[in-house]
Amino acid sequence: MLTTFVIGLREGLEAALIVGIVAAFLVRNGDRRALRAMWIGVALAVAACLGVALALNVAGQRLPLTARAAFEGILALVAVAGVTYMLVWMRQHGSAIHSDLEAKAESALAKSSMVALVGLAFLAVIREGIETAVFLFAILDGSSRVGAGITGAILGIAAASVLGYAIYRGGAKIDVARFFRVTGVVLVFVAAGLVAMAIHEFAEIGWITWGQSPAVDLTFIIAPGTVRASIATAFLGLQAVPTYAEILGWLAFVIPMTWYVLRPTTQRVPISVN
Amino acid sequence: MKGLAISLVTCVALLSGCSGGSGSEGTVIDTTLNNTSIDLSVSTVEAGTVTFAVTNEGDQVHEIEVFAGSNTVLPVDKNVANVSGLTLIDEIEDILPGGNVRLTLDLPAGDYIVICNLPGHYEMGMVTKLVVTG
Repeated sequence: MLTTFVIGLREGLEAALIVGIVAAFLVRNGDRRALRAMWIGVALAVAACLGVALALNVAGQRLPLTARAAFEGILALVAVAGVTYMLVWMRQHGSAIHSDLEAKAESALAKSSMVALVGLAFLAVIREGIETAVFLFAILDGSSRVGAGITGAILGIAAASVLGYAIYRGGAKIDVARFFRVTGVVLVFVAAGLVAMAIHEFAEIGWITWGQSPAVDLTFIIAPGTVRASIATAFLGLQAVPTYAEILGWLAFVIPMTWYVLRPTTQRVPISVN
Repeated sequence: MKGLAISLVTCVALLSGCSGGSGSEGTVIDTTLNNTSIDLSVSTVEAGTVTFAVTNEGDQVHEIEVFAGSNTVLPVDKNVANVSGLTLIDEIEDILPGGNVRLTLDLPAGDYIVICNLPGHYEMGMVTKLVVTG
């Protein structure tokens, strides 16, 4: 049960982080309508994942490696673009948002930004969701310990959701500058992990052939099968033994973007309604 | 919501793009994962549809990766087999202790190696070879 708990936590946490931060972000902007749209999107994504996994299960099929890896890799890159967009927006508007702006609601976030954020939450769920659902059905089919296995996996996903919810609650309360700073750094790491994962997926199907030797053994941080590893994987997005290409892609995102998010503001940007 | 529509279309497209004759498993190879070995019920099969019926009899989570290649002696680097340069045919990750999974592949004639490349597992002996004859 611990085994499947850890897998559920690992698969759910990254999506929960993104959804939690997007939800807090929308609430901070007083955009309740967008928040509702986001939850509908997330529910649809979960339903779509279960539907696809169920259909595959009934057909006795798996997606071929090329389709699977291309799908996950490309969605990871789209999610990176979404997160980057969010970071830039937070950076440009963060220092200008005062709590009184929250009351002004709707005008704070342009419709296009809202759609992008809702889409990002949807993507975050659907990307890992299909594989997770396939994994859940595989336990139902094959494991000698079905009950405990399924319970563990669902508890793992639930624990991830609770963490996402905690971020949402915390994010909706703490002061806005700190919220943007903390979530900004978290998002930088999550997005860098998505870059590394995209490289990993593309390498599996031969789209990237450079730098494929193992670079470093991170099992001391990411010991497979532990709760700590699940959390580290969700935050860092790295394999236990990443390749040089994965490490390089990860660093190429983390270094400039951390600097971008944390560098002190030289001047206060006037409030501009985007 | 546009992203939603696109993603749903992608899902359906991927689903309908599934390969393989529906339900046909071809030659079934009983595949047993132990913590120190991967055992196949046969070491030679004819080219065509092949199904690895995998049982994890070890007490740890394992994975099964099928690569094109004939050499089971790979350089070990940072506790994993260095598979750079090898073509991955397909894989299933997160196979639980006591778990059963089935991996159906269309294999042309050639040599293949089957490994579990979680850190340390290759070195423990989780590698074997499959010859597919034409």
